[in-house]
Order: sequence, then structure tokens, then C-alpha cells
Amino acid sequence: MNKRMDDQELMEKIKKGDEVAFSQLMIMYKDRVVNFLYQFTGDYQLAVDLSQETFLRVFFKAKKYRPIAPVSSWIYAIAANLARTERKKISRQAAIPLDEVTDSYSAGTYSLDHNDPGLMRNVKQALDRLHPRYRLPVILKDVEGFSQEEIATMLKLPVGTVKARISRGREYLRRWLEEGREIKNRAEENEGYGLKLPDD
Amino acid sequence: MEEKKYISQLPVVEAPPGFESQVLARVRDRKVRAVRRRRWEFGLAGVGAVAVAVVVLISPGIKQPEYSARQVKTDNSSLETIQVMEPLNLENEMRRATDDPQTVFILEKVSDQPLIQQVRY
Repeated sequence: MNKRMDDQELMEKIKKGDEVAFSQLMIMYKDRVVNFLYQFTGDYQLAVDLSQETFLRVFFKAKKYRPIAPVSSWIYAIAANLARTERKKISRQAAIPLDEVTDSYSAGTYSLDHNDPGLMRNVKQALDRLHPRYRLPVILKDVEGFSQEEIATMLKLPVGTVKARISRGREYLRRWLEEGREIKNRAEENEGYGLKLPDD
Repeated sequence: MEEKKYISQLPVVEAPPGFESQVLARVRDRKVRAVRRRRWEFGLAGVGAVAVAVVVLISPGIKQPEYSARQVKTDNSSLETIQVMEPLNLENEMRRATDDPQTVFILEKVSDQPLIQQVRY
């Protein structure tokens, strides 16, 4: 509650153009916003650029903020909109011939051993493979820890739709992780049956 | 629920050092650009208004009124007022009026039928 009060006070000052208050707000949220955008885009530099743009909008659009929702939700909503717009821009620009497209995820192999350093990489790859429609609510819920109601407010969607997308997104991730595990097991079995060449 | 656990364990990244100062620099840059843009807009609007005024005043297609209120004022101020006294012979005027034949209009009712009659085909 106190944090929210602080946020609101900072926003009131930012509305008047107070750069000190703006710096304080940035210090509070910059890491979370960068991490959220990194999980969504998979590109650190792009995430930093989008985060900077997010905070610029926070400063210049502060007068449009209404204290009916937490400041964090408002900032994340701006970041999510920017990320979606950027993704659309990239998908329009990227015209790769179908022959050159490889399914890099299914070619990868990993185990579900927590000590496996490739596990997290593969989880990240699965997350990147997920359609943004599902990826965004899944990240907001499972990485950032927002409630479904807050996510619904941010994305301007009904709560039921958000619930369904989170559930569907998790289902896809689980399925792909299991597929990857089966590929790994099959590869290990094939290695076991392989012929060994005699040493010279 | 494994996938949820794995997602929450994904490596967390942080903002690079100097993030705030970069954003603040961009904020100031945008403010300066906004001021410049506003000046440009005002300047262009002013130039446009002057251009329209010049075109309206100089354009030969637009006909000036022959005698405007401004001209009347300037004429009155620059010229002396001369009072003209013209003799008028009212006797002649009256005589001419009496010589004219006088017309008398007699209004008479010429029919008992109503003015608007029903038309039959």
C-alpha cells in the first residue's frame, strides 16, 4: 500500500515535469521492465531500447495516467504495447524464404535434469517459439507474478480470455518440452546401438 | 506444472549501467526538439498568414469596391464642404400636380359565385 502511495506521489510529480521523481520511478522499475521485455523479445539490446522508449512515454504521457490502476500495471501495459508493435514491425520486415527456415527447437536435445545447463536454454527457446498471444500473459503471470485481473487490465482483455491464454500457453510449453525430451532419449538410444570402429 | 516452475527459473537480466542517464538525456533532447518544432509551426503559420494577406491585397482577380467607406472619410477630411443653395419654386410644382388627370378606381362586385370553383374532368 505504501509502495503504491509512493508510486502515485511520484506520478503526480512527474505530471508536473519533475525529473528527479522520474529518475526514482525508473530506478524502481527499470530492471523489471528490461527483464520483462527481454523474456518477451529474446534480444537484450532490443529490450533495453524498448525499455527506454517505455520510460520516455511514461514521462511524456504522464498526464494521461489515471490512478485507478497501479503505476506498475500502466508501465507494463506501455511496455507490452511497444513490444507487440515492434514484433509486428520485425515480422513485416523479415521476409525469409521458406526453404531457409529450420526448426531449430525440435533439433535441440536436452534432459529435464536441473543441473543440465541446456535446460533453461531450451525452456527459453520454447518460450520464444510460443505465439505472442500466449507468451505475453504467460510471462506476465509466471515471470512477473501479476494476477490474472491485473494482466487483463494491462492487455485490455477479459479475465476469462487471459486465463484461457495462460492455460493454453503452458500447455504448448509442456508439450514441446516433452517432445524435446523424447528426441533426446531417442538420440541417446541410437548412440548406444552405434558401431565402434576398432582402434588402429 | 513443471513448465511454470522452469519459466520462473529463467535467468533474470537487469538494466545496463547508465540506463537512467540515457533516458533523461533522451527526455531533454525530445523537449528541445518539441520546442523547436513548435517554433517552426508558429513560424510557418505566420508566414502562411502573411502570404494569404498579400495575395488577397495584391491579387488583380479580386475587384476593389469603387467607393469605399475609407475613401469617403478621407475625401470628407481633405475637402471643404460647400453648401449649395438651390431655389425651388413650389408654385410651379403644385400646378403641375393639379394638371395631371386624376384616376379613380371603382371596386365593384361582378359575380356571386365563389372565387374558387371545383374543377371537373
